[in-house]
Amino acid sequence: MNIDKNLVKKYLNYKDENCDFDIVIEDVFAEMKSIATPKKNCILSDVSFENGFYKLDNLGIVLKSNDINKLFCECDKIATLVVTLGLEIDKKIAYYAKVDLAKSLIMDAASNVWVEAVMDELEAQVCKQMDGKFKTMRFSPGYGDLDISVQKSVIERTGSNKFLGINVNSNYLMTPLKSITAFLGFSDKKQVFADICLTCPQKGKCQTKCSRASH
Amino acid sequence: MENLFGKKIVILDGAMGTMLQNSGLKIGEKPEMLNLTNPQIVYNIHKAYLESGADIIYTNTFGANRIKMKDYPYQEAIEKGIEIARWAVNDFGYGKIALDMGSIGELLEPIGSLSFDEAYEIYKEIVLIAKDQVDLFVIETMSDLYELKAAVLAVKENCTLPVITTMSFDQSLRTFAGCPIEAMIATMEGLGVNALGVNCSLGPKQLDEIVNVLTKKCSLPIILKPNAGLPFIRNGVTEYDVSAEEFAEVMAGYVQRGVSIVGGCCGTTDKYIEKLAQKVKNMNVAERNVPAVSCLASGTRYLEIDSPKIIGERINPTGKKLMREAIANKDIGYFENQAVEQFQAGADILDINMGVPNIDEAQMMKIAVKAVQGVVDLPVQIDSSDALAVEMGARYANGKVIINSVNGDDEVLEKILPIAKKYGAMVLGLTIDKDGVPKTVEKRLQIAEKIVNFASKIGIKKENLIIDCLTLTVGAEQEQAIKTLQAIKLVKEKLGVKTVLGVSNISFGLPNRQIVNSHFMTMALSFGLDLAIINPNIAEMMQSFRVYNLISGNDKNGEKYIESFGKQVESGVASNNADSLKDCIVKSLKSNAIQVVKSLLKSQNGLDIIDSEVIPALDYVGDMYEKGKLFLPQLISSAETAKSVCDIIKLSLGNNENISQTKIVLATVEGDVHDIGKNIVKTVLQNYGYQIVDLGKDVRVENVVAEVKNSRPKVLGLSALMTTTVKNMERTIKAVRAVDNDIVIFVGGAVLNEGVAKEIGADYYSKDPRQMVKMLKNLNL
Repeated sequence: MNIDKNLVKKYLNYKDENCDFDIVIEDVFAEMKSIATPKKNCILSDVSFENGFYKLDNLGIVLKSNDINKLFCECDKIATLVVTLGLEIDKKIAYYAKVDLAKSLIMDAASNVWVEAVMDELEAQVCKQMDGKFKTMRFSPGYGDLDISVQKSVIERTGSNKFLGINVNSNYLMTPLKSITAFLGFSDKKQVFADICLTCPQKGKCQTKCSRASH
Repeated sequence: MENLFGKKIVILDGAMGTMLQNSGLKIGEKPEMLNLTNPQIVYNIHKAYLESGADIIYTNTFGANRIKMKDYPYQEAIEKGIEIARWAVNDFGYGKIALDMGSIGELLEPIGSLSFDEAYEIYKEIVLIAKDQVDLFVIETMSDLYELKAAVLAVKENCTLPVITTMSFDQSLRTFAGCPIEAMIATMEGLGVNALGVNCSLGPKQLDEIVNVLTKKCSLPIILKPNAGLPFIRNGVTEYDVSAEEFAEVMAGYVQRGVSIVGGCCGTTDKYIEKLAQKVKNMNVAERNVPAVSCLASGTRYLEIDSPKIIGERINPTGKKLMREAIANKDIGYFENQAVEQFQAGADILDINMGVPNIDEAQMMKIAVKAVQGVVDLPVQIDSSDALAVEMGARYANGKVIINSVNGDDEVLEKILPIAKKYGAMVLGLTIDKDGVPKTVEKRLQIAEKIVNFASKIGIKKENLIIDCLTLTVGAEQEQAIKTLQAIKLVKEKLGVKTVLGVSNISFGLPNRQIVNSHFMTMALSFGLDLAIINPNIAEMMQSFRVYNLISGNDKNGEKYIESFGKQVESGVASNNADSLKDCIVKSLKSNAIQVVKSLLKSQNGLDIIDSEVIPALDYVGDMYEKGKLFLPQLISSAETAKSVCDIIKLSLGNNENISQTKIVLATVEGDVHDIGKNIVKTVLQNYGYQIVDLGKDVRVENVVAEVKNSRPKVLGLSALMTTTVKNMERTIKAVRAVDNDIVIFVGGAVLNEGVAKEIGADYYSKDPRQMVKMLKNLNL
């Protein structure tokens, strides 16, 4: 897998287009590759409604979010996606924070891009499996009005604590830090999904605004 | 109970969770709560396993602890879980009960924030509830060796029951937390568990390589409790791909190779255990020939002393002013830097000595061990003559350590060896006794023999002993140098133990000491020295060491030699000695900057250099960053170059000269583990001369308050990246204001802005370190 170097630069607040920084990013990425243990997990659920909110039947998780209701409108299946790069990346970033802070910063940005890419890969696999259905954009705990506290159930009930080694602390932060959870809706009907970015608290501040929705 | 292990094949039960789900456990329901709400289901499962041939059943208490079940009656769940298991065993008329403990559910420091002591107390609570009602303890599905160590100590210090342990590994032969199998074996054998092995993680077929390592390296009975294959999802439900028959077949193969305690984990049921028992119960325990090895470990590293190794000696105050100051000031950052430097220079083990008068040495040993192992994953050597400091070091270190030291004095042996035995440490024995350093080779051997015999009596094996034949100063007692070398050879031949020397004493009082030291070390290695205690930052010493290993054949294909000396090229931009200090900082030319500042210090005052070169360089870089001409890594590289320069300037300053009086405490607030932003702020502020006390990440409110009370800083900087942790920032601010109303509080982080900062009671919001520096200047701070 290759990572999008331009996105790494964007995360690093890179503004000077003439500055050639690709080799440094490639070196850091090579080092990351030797220690990362990317892992993915996906559980596909039939859905029902409980108190007006989507419920993932086989996981028993209720997604208490009006944004999800809008975005996943008419979806009959929801995939819960979990990916991680493993703990060694966290340790390496922390190590470089002591000995080479600039490198730590670059590795942090590069691992953010990488973990997103792993998630993209998992999404592509699920979409292939769901061939013929229309998908929504991904939506993660903490987005919009979906409370981040759902993170704990997501990790435990998908077995991601056991099989991916992800731990959620009492403030719902995941360890390894470079881990992502997301929901992806599937529907038989082509429809215009709500642009969730419009209501996001990060609106106007987000560096990576890009709709992955399939309109 | 422990007499069973290793004598006959012992059958454990299968999965509890799978059986509970098959019996109707609802999604999201706590399995342990069924002990209280539906004991019959749990009883039926125990009974089914006993009927299918299990010798030992695990109580339904895997997640029953005060963290994982904080809103549930976990103590009652444990008590009832034991009662149900006893009920099943009594009804069936056979079987032993293992109290099952899993991981706590919060990560331990340094990755997480749970302390070793807290983890210990959590396990101790369970042990005290169960110890009079079960036959043994099992600690399973562990990933973090440090957490496992806390659990094992909690059992062994609070009861006399057997304890068996299993960790979960993946195909990389490491746990999720990075613990290699050999590190688990070295540490757990040392702590005296009764059997150890692997559970969960993979199916039986994938465990081949793991079993290989276990059967070759583990001298204790081996446990194997795998899943029923690899998981896959069918109709939204997790299933496993190995049948009961196949499971039993593969497991029987492992029993033939020496595994003697077998059961099943996720996906296995009573059918699996029945087939397994039928297949292996009457097999004999296969004999294994496990060679005795001298080895050490940290949480993520295993080190076999099968060729010479280097012990870094720098974390020791003897003759080192800055280290003495660091110990007195509890300057963790200084220990960390010393650890990193030695690690990068090639040390295999780090010696830690906190012997400074009028400090609490034991407490400092605990702090230093944690700091060092928090930043590098090398095994450590606990260096103290104070028994309490030795115990603290051995207890709080992760992995298997060396205790430095004992000698031929009975009193010392009686005091220190039991600590080594308890924690499974290697022990360094000096060939000295109450009569002083012996002058003959034979007398040194005699003392070494005494140490070996004394250790043997309390159960410390030869492979865990390292003898120091003592380096005397060649300038004062020339004839003794060769005797030291001869003693190394003799001790190894006669006693079969490892040897160690503190090398540099050889050259005391002589000119060009490195020449003597490096040659003496090479000679000692030729005489069979296994461990050299040196300063690995001195190039000549590491050169001699690498060359010795290359020529002696220890360094296969010269890999280490080539890695160390194959590309010694200055990193970064091509050097240009004509650059001014300011240019060096702007261009992040660290080596050049250091040379230039050293040269400038010959003719200028350090504080003047900071004002005329360092600060203007930082201002320039900051301006360029604001204008988008430089980006963050470049800003940080310049800041780090400036920091190296300032470190050198600090050394040149007299006692009355200080770069700044303004002290700032920094912390990432409780619950938040994102600390990159805080680290950037720290680096930049340090360069502008501020004295920074960095409390780290996920810092509890009470710890911030304690530090504010203790060091009375003028400014407090708090960082948070998550909306969920802003509330902890607010709590911290309130608590700090209660003890210091004058302190200026800055906050920063992705989810903050000026409005939020005001709402939560902070004085200022700063979007980046550059802005914070400007604001501090405006405030005359």
